[in-house]
Amino acid sequence: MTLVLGLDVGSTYCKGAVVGPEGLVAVLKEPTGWDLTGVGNLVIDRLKSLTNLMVLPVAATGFGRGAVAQALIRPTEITCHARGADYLLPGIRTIIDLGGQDTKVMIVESGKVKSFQMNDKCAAGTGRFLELALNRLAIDLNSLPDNWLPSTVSLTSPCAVFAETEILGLLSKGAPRLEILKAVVESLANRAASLAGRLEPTAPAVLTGGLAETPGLTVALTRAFGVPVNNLKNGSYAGAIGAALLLGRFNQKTTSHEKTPAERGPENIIWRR
Amino acid sequence: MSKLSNMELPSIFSSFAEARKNGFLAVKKLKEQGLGVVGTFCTYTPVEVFWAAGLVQVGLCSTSDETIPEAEKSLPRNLCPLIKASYGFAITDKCPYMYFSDLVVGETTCDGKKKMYELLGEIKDVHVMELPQSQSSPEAKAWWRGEVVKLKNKVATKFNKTITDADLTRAIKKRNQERLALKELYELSTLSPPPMTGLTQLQLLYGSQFKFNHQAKMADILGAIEKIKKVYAEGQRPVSEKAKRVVVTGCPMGGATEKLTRAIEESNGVVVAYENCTGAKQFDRLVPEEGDPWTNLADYYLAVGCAVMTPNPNRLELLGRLCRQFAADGVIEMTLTACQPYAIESRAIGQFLSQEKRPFMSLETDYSLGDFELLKTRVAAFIENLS
Ligand code: SF4
Ligand code: SF4
Repeated sequence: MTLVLGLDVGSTYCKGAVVGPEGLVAVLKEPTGWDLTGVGNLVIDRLKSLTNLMVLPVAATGFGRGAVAQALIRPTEITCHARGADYLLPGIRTIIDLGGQDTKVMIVESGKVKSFQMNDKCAAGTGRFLELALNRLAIDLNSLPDNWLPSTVSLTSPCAVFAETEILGLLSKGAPRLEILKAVVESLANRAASLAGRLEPTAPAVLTGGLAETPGLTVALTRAFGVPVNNLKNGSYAGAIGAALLLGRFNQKTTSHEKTPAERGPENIIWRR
Repeated sequence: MSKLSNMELPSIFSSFAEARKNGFLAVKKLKEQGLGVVGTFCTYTPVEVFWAAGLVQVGLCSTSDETIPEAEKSLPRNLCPLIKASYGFAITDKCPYMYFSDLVVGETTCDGKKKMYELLGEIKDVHVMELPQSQSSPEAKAWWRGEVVKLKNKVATKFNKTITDADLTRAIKKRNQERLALKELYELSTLSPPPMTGLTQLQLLYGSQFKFNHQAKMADILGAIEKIKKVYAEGQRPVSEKAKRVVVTGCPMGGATEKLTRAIEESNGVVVAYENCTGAKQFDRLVPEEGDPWTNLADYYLAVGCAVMTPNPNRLELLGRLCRQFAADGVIEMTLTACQPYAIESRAIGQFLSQEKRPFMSLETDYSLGDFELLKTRVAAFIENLS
């Protein structure tokens, strides 16, 4: 059996996925911490013992991919997320990845990136922004009800630091914590949507990254993007799965597409700081 | 570092980079020989006029962020780094060429530059040519010819020279020779795999503007061409067969913005051609050598395809042609922060390349090195997805 391991060394978690010709075999993740090489090895070792294999070829992605010495290939997280999400939900067209320190929106076709936008210059609109707000509010993201209605309050600053000050202001005025949480999530979703401004996202769209399976988020993203954004089972492993697929080259068997017309690569990617 | 960069050609290439380093001494020596020095900023400047007067002409566009903080004391922060750096080097006396230049010639290209020239005029003798904003009408052509003649008169008075038609024709021929040679040099990269990295090409093209003796410069360029051909014929391959072939377009490159080329060439790509002012835009065409030299010169320069023109069809024409000639897998555009002409024109470039079926990405950057990893992630993702 030819199995391969994909490793996605993110800023918050190090995710690992083992994939074979028949599809996904195993996934697991560990908090990244400060030792990128160490956590990479830990995830590799744990996946080896899970699959009872001594040797697994490794592909690494994520911002810490350079620290994984044994990686045979190190594709970018953009390519990997596209490939992985297309495996998890064949035919996917729009991917929103809320990462710990960056946010990406990708337009894909047959698992290939056609266009993308990425924010990694500041914390606004990233998982870090959400984390700070949740800590300040001492509230869990899952306390958002299904199909929640828009918040009665709003945050004006997308900046993570200023938003925290704003949250304090709202709290002192007696705004309910749940309403503030909604406002935080809306701010995050709007920020991601404005990032995607030029991209013209279309359905089907999914959320990947650590919060991929949180229903409360997709409600806000759907409103902000104007297309239904779905949760994605195992979506936090999209990058790791994509890395493994790129190494294993099982894609013809595991993804929906055989061949597409005009599959000639990305077009019209414009990045402004 | 990638495989690409480790396998670069040695010896003769470094002579160009040294020309940069020895700049101060070289210009000083020229001045000691009694030669006048004219500093220029832009591809629209008809340098043949200076050559015809026996003057030394040197490019003043700065490509390092060293003096930007100094410049920001007088200029707004959200201004193109090329303009800020050029002004910064002028007021700090850190650029040998600016320092030694007797006359500085600019054009009314973008707003940032023309307003900066007003400030520069306080410390240098600045002559600003009024460049029309479009290229095709007879009025624009006539106007620009008038500006070229005004420049001649300015130069003649300032340096106490007479410039005859024959002088100009000789200068045109010399500059054409250089254009042909530099074009031959970069066209070597039509080979697959190319015989030099994009970084080598950029450094050769960029460095060539700091050589002031025509004969020596020609010998250097032709020597570089021979060397590259010979090494390639012997079987050396400085670039992998698998590297994706990228054409770079946008604002002028060189110096700090070499980082874009590095990002491309550390991500399994190779820059085969530069459409920018550092590259093909300067060398692609020749000034006609028959007929009225002043009209020929004016018409040639007015046709430069820069985003300051409206409309700007010549950039598309050149870009499309380079893509085909160099078999580009994709096009990457660099726009400098706060450069409105190029940032806005991006959309037209994207639409044009989409028709041409060439994948396209546009990146904004400045002269700092802090965004190298950000650039590299984007460039790597783009190259990975080229089919
Ligand atoms: S980009 Fe345009 S304005 Fe700038 S140097 Fe080139 S021709 Fe001149
Ligand atoms: S890069 Fe743009 S803003 Fe800067 S000088 Fe050239 S045209 Fe002007």
